[in-house]
Amino acid sequence: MIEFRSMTFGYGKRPLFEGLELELDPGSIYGLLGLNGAGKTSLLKIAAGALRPTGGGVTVFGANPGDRDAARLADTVFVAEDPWLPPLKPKTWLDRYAVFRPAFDRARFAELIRELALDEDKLLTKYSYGQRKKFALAAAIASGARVLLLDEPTNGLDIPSKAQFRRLLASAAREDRVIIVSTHQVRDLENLIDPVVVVHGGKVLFTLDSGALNERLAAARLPSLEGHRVVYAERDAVGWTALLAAGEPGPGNQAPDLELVFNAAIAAPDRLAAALRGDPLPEYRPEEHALAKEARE
Amino acid sequence: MKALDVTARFSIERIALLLRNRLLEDLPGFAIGFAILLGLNALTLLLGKTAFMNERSGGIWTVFVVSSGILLSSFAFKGMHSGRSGPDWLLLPATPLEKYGAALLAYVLIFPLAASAVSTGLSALLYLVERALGGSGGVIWTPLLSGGFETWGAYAVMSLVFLAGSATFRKRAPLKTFGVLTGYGLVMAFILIGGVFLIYRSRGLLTTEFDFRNGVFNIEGAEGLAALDGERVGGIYETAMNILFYGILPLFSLGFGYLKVAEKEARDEVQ
Repeated sequence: MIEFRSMTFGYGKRPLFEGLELELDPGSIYGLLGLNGAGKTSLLKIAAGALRPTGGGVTVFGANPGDRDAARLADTVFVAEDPWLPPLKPKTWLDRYAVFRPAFDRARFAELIRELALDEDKLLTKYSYGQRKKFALAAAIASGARVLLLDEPTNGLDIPSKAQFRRLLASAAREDRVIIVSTHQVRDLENLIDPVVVVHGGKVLFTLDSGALNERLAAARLPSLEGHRVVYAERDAVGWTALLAAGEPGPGNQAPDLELVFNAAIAAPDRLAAALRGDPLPEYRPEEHALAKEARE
Repeated sequence: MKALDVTARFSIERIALLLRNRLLEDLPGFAIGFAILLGLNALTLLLGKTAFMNERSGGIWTVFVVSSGILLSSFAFKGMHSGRSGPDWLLLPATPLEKYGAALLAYVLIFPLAASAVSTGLSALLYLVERALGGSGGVIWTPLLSGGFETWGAYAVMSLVFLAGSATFRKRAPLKTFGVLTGYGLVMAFILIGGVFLIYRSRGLLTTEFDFRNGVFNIEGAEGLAALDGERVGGIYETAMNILFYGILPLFSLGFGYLKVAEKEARDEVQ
């Protein structure tokens, strides 16, 4: 389990998180969503032990990751958005670096390397951006670590590789493992990440699991918003894509997509919270919930 | 292969692995350096039948071993500061103490030993080639020719200082460390000169003031110093310098360098 308790962190005098509270249990693949600069990468680095909070506490399976003891480090893998790899071939990399992780599964790693069609005779530094991501992902999955922290893992992957990534990550899920995926590409991971944690303004705005989302919310394409219990809506050329509160009748209603839910969390947090509680919603005024305004702030 | 025990708070095995990785990473650069030296000596052998590095006392070998060791020390923690490799460096499963300890062993102990052994071998090889070409052969360099343990002691202190510099400075660590050392030396020299000046003048041993001529500071009236026991003053000065150089400076560098590694964070992306 990963616990953030009243955690404060910032760069210089600018606070990024103030009193952040979050609990992440093993057995799930968490999606970490937030606007640019919301602190998703910093949060992953704090959980990994590469950054230390300035106040409050963080524990990962009961230990402080900032202590950087070898056991904790061997039990955690952080995969950066643009992973750095040394100028070595995969086999040499294994001999030099995987040896620090006693739970590293070499056979599984070899399987993954073959499956991802990574050239074993090439220096890792000669790999493309996408290939480096695949290599780092293979290393993370084979590491045996109980904490996998993946920063924007689908950026730079081609379409078939994204599908492959989803399959591999789903196979990496274990009862004793916490996987956190920070992403902007929520649609790439739509059916994989559950629950979703939305970080905004230095706090966790929502922790949403798919059960609650499907029970309390629905999405629909509407020509007009009038007469609907709208949580949040986005206008396009032919009408509205709306997130509706539970109980809203309509044959065209679908399960809410994560991108719409995320936008609602940022632009209309009070309405989303009310909808999730099942409270009545006041009339929706699109001009009051412009996402661009929130993103700028 | 026996699995590494990660539960140990401190592990010699992990230090050995870190040390092995470090030496393997440095090996290509080390080999290129020696290849360049061999090439230069081959050139002087061809042109003048003499291997220039074996000339006189072979002091150039000492300069090469010491300066390359200092240079390696000053880049020891470059990967830790890098925005890209930094998180991987920090999160490699070994404690900061083990990571610092491996660098310490690599550059304070193993590098000078290995570089001295290779240098002695190359020097002997060049000696034989030069003799075969009809030259005198010069001298076969060994670490003992350059002062042995005393030189190693001075090297070890400087290596520790540059390791601390590397742990502290993100960019241009060798230059910045050299700058700090020079600044520190100058400040200490001024304090020392000022102290000597005040004490001696208060005792009436200095007949005149400071004098600055042709870019040189002089304390005029040095004849007055003869009134003190010169040998005793010299002895005290030497002991003080030895305590500073071989005691305080390495201990400070050791502690400071380690703390810098232990406190390092990957704080370089979103600022």
